Amino acid sequence: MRLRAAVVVAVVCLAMMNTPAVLAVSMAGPTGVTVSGWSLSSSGTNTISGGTLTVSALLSSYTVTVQADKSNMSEYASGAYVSSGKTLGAALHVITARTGGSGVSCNGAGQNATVGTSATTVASGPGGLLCSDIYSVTLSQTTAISDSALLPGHVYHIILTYTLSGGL
Amino acid sequence: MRHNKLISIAVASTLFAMPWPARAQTAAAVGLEITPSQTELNLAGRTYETTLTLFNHDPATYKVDFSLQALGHDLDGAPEYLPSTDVSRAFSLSTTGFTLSQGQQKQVTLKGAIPAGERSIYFGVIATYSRADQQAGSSVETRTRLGSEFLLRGPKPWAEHLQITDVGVLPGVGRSATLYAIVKNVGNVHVRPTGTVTVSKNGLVIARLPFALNAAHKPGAVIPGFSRRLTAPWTPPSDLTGTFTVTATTQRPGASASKTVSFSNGKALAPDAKIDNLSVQNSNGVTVDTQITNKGTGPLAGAKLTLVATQDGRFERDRTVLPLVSLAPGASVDKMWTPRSLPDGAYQITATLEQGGAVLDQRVAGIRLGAAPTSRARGPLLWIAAALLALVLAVVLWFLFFRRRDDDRQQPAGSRA
Repeated sequence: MRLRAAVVVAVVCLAMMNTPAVLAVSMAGPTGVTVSGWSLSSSGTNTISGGTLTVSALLSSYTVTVQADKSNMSEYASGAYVSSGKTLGAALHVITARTGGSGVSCNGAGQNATVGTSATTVASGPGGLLCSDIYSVTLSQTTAISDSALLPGHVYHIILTYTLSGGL
Repeated sequence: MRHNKLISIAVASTLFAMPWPARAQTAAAVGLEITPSQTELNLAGRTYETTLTLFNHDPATYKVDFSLQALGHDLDGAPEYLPSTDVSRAFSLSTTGFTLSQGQQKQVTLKGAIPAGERSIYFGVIATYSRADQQAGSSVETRTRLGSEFLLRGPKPWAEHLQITDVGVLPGVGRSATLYAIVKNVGNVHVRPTGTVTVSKNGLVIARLPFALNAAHKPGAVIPGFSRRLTAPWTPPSDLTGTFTVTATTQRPGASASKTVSFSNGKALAPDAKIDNLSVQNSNGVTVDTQITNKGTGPLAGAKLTLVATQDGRFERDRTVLPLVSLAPGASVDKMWTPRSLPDGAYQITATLEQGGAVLDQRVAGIRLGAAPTSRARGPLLWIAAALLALVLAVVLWFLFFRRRDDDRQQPAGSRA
């Protein structure tokens, strides 16, 4: 009888071991953060808040990357990019800085990412139990006198995609 | 007692058969959570099936859309998700999307097989989410995604082979330096190599350091076809001047390479440049834009940028080599390439910056030309199959336990030992 009970317990334990590794990541913000009417100066560095980013990773390191739909901010009007429209000469930068979080060893690090259509790391950390990292996000766009002013109702536009993954 | 056993058998059978999600709600979870975030398995066969769970911890209702993309990484190991026809054909998801309100959790089932002729597959399940009431910004719109990585190795034999394509030293702030080896996976399954790097002169070893583990305290993964920089931080002695030999040796799999580097009063004399960004767009043909910055203290001369377009990461379709004549410290330069006309498909564009045989940086970008192949979402068949499997296992276990007891009872007492 004891042997049978042990076999049943072993079978149940093996079944539980058969489940996938328990790793999880979660991210809050900057979902839905939108920047409208960003007034860019004719030359110099323009910065604006891109919201906040909070990351939690259980039993895993993590990486947050950012990528854009265009290599540079591009002319946009009436909800669509202007065909053969103008583009800014310099790439947009996304700058993150850790401003808080929870957990003792949760020392994630922000970065200054030059945005392109390929993924660039903008934040990473070791993760861990009860661990979260909060980052402020700043968008920085350099303009030059060679960049074209746009017609009224037209703006320079870009779509940023943040992706959270476990560390490889 | 008989009921207890029946319940145990039913529970065990169900646990074996059902694609249960790992219930790992993160203690400090915020926003939208995906679990598992990474799955690394050696499969006995080629087929694989699992369930991913998404939790919404936010007050907002999110609209979640799913997609499958090939998994790669940059030189520093940051994951890259790239369009792939192979992955779309090999695996499918039970749904293309759903909405999640506050406190709600839902599952999506992944099912498929490592393609015949392949020994492994690497991909991500991408959950793109947005608020149901999200407005488009006129200047900047923001979207967010969670990636669940899958590193699946199939049945052996595996070819676990690494090639060390470069060894060297990167100068850091002050006297700090980073010894490195760039390893390329030329096998057919991913590897997590360990190893050491030594600095020596005339056979006398000055420093021997292990390569750093990744933040999860395990060796970093190198996916077939991709390169990764293994690093070891080092502070050279302040009087270190002259030429020295840097030797990198890896284990599991083994490889070794050496190169001569120079120091002056503890400062590494080596170029340092980065590919800041890499953009690939399709507008009346594919255009590749990239920006390179000299991060070093001296001018960068004689460097070259190699751009390669590869279909599905396997078939090279076009390449170019762009020379960089000279770049002052801190200066940046933009380079553009228009590959020849590429047929429809999923492409990886790999940019490699080199100088004098030293690989300074490498980036990968993806683009799909033409329509993506459709991935079939599966209905309730999965659950019917799982229930049938549970039933079969229950019957087998019943035979093992109850038939054995009946047999025992039928045996004559005198025949027992």
